[in-house]
Amino acid sequence: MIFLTEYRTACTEQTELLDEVFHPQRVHWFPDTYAKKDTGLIYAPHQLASKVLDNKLLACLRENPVKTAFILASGNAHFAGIEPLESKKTRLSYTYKFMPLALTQVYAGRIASSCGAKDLVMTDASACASSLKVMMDITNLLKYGFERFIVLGVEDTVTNSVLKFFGDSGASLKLKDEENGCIPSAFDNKNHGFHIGQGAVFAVFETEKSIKISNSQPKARLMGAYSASEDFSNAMGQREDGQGFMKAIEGSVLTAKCNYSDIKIVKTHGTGTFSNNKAEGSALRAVLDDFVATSYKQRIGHTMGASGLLETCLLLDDIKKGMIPEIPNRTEKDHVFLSEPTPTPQGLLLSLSAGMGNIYSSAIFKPY
Amino acid sequence: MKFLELFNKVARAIRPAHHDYADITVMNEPIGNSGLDSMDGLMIGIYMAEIYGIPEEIAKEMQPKTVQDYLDFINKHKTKDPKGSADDIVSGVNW
Repeated sequence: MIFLTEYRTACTEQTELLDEVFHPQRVHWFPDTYAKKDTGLIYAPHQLASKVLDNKLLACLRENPVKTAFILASGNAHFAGIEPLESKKTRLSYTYKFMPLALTQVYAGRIASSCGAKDLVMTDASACASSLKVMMDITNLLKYGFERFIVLGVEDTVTNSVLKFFGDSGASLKLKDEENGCIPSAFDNKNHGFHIGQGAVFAVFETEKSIKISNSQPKARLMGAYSASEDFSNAMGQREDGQGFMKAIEGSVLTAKCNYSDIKIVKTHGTGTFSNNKAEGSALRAVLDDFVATSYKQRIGHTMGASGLLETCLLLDDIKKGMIPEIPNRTEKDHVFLSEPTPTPQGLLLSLSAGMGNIYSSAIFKPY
Repeated sequence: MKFLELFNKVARAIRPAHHDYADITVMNEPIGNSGLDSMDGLMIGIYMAEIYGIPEEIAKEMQPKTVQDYLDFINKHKTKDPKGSADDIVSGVNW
């Protein structure tokens, strides 16, 4: 069995309008993480990661060694912010003086050493499904005798290129959308979409043996996880019937050895785009009966590669407080895709993510 | 401004925030004793090259084992001398 024993998160509900970028839009960001970017040696994602790297926790992990895998879930792998589309300098612009550190695997190795992870260091670039997709990697690594799994999920870096990419595709809300009266929401007929956000999560998963050694307390049990793709030729799109989500959910239910009816709480991918509303909404209605669903992207922005696990940890915090938060800015009353906060129901938590390039991830947790 | 003081400031600037770093106090002490690894050493070299106006292609030849090695290399190749306190120099580098 695998338990989530520790996590640290970094994200912000505050937004700032970046009007100098290609598509002016609001962004959830930490300006201080960009403060030293012009040195060319100190990159924003590394600064952001430092917000979730707790020295005390790292020391505890080093001092209680077991066979450990470290996984850097870095989303789309332009980790330190390559700017192929940049035509003018913005507050997000980068300078490079030491390219090796911009490589995801090199950075992963650097952080893994400070966690005492000496047995396997790996990275994942499954786009915005990245940090949740590695839940399946963890369940697989268990078969090879690993006892501890450390996951660092960090957004791919908010850059002019990233904002242009999401803006071009109509996924992120631009200033002109807001001027037309649209604000972020999901599964709603009026409001939709999200802002881009910086976010990071550091999470430790352990077996019973590792828990005994580190004397940690389980916060949730990772019951099962699965990732899947769907039969669709457009790698940038989603099938409206939600086949990809359904396949991922089915796989996670099988690996969790639970029933669909055990699932009562859903952390949706919840981008609020028209295509995701249809795909994810269809999939959930097709396989589940009695559940409540929420989304965090309208609160903290879409933190890309970090989003799946980061949002799961935020939901575990909310579950502990006894309330499942509503999906912000819903304009219709809804007891399933919540328009209002609701007391936490008893049951399992299903967490979903999706990434461009045809990847859907699902993980099932039992909250403690 | 003492070179050792500047070195420690630069080392703290490039070191990830969560990594331990113990100030080096002796010029001939191996830099590894402070918790720095060879990658940190390279990054410090690039930073120092910027401060002392050493071209990047020359800076890459730097292979220091001690702070004294850095200083010797810098004295041989520098094209300028920084002014002010170590804090001013580190924060005021015009990249």
